[in-house]
Amino acid sequence: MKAFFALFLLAPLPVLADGEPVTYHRDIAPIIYAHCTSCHREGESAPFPLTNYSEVSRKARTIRRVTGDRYMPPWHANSEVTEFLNVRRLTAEQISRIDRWVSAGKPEGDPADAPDAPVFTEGWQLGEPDLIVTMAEPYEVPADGPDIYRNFVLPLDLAEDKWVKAVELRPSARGVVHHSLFHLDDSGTARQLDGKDGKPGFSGMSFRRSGSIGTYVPGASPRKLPGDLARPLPRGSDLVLSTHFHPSGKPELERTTVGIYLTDTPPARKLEELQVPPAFGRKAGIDIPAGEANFTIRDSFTLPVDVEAYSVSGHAHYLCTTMKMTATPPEGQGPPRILLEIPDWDLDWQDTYFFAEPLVLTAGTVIESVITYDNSRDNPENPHNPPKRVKWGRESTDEMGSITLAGVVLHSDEQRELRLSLQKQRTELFAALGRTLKDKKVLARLPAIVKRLDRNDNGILEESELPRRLREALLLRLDQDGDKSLDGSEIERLEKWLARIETGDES
Amino acid sequence: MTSRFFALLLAFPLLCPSLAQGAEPLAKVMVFVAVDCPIANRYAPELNRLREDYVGKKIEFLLVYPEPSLTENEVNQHLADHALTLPFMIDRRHRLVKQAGVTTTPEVAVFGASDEILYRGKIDNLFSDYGERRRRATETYLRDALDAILRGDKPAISTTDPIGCLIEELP
Repeated sequence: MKAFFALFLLAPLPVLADGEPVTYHRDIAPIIYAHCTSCHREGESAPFPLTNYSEVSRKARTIRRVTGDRYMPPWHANSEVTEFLNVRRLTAEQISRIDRWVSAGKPEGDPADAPDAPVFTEGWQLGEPDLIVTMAEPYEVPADGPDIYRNFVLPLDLAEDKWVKAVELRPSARGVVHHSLFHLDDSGTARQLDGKDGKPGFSGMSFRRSGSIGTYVPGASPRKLPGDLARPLPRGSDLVLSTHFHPSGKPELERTTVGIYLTDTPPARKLEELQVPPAFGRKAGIDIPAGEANFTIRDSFTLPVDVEAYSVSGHAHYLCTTMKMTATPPEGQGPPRILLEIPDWDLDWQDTYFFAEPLVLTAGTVIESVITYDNSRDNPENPHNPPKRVKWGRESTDEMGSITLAGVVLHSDEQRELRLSLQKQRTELFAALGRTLKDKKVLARLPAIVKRLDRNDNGILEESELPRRLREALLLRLDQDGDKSLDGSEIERLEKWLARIETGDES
Repeated sequence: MTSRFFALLLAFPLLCPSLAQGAEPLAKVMVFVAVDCPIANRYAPELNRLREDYVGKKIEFLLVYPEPSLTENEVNQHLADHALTLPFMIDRRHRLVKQAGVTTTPEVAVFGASDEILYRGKIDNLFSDYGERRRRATETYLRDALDAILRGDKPAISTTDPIGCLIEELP
């Protein structure tokens, strides 16, 4: 199939003089086959098939409209300033060719001019996976209502550490599964939350994530990490799928199957993920006033060693509008370059973008992220109406914001230096958290806060007495006896924990 | 154009037998949909709610599929999948498309008692553009239009720009 696409890249584009008729078989089918059919076919995630003249002709005006405003094919990164692999974006010439074809009355042309129809791999795209796990029970997605974010725990029961080359997700109801993030949990906290509301999985993001083995978005085909690279999958870890559902208008049952491609050998160089700002923007000052149409956060990180970067991806929620990551090399080592520019952030298409060639970024290069938000009424995706103040948080109606650069150290003896530098980024994060606690005198005020929360005055903070936003996180961290309340000794644990953060001992 | 409206007025009760019974409705709502348009399909639960909320109030609904090659079986399957309980017709020759002046699925056209178009466009503002979806609609254009008609008023907003799958021209 690769050879098939390569042929298109090599073949000269038909030069269409004004007035020369554009035909489906000669001029349009190559675009459709290369950019649409992989999702728009039977059994895939897109809503209608686009595999032949009759199917394309039935949706021609819609295709003209959505390609014209670049809603389709979905691709949100600026691929003119950064070269990426598997760019799905159409060229201006292709868009205008579709427009001219529809305006000309959708002429079919001569089937002899048609390219061969693409051949797609049936079943697992990368062959039989080493490990296949399926959700124990299906989750019912209702016909109607807002989007749903739900986590599903899939025990892997691995007796030894493994390394992940690739993950492929196979939803049973592709039309409603919008995307899924593959988290790891080695603490069992996700298992505790699983099914508590009587339905498979759990809502909210208050489990302790110990790692990630990738993401799924429609349109992006699974690929193995290059060379000997692999992501760690420690024994005893559970896979936690964080899946985003779009209700479709009819009830659907989702029972996801996941295929994992493993290797036993750890990579020579560890795949590192640099988040700028760290922790999804936890301490990046995300506090967006209601109505604010142009709110900006920025953060930077200086690379301590030479790094070979493979991919870049962003994460934010509904209010985010643009993202940009720039690499500025030290003086005299060339101009700044843009690593990722997303001029119209869309939570629905959280792609990971792979650089066309691994990028070497030299020691001393400053990696800067700039992320903007629109919390005004004019942002139709604003989850609050009327708008309200939005701060950092784990729920989709809160905000986050960070860009992740994935890569390896160029020289394997410099691994430790990069690790230390990333550790420092994390320590600084907790230090900032500590300063906030200090500024607000949280520790000193804790007894008074506990007294105020303890409405029934029994010395115990019951679940209903805990602040709603922190409830799950506090219980998860502190409720040792699992009675859904914090007694005296558990409140003491809270005090000690806060003290550690305040003094910078927590990391 | 006027003659077309009269043709529609005459044709409507024939197309939709339930309309022929009982009192003359105050308004007739044509809802243009497609079996494979994701935005139209997303409205299935709201269409059922609309019917429940308004049918007892002399408002009649008709689902219209403006697709020449569609079969009754395909429509019945679509209705069953989405638990839709509205009467329907397949507008193979786009007579209703032309009479209602619609371009898109989903799009609605509300006809008054003397067959004038009182409202045409979106059901609500759940979608503001392709891929831009609110958590819930904040403007309920069709409901507002119907409520105005029930009060004996003209809808304050008479047209909105639809968003969805564009209806193909007939070959």
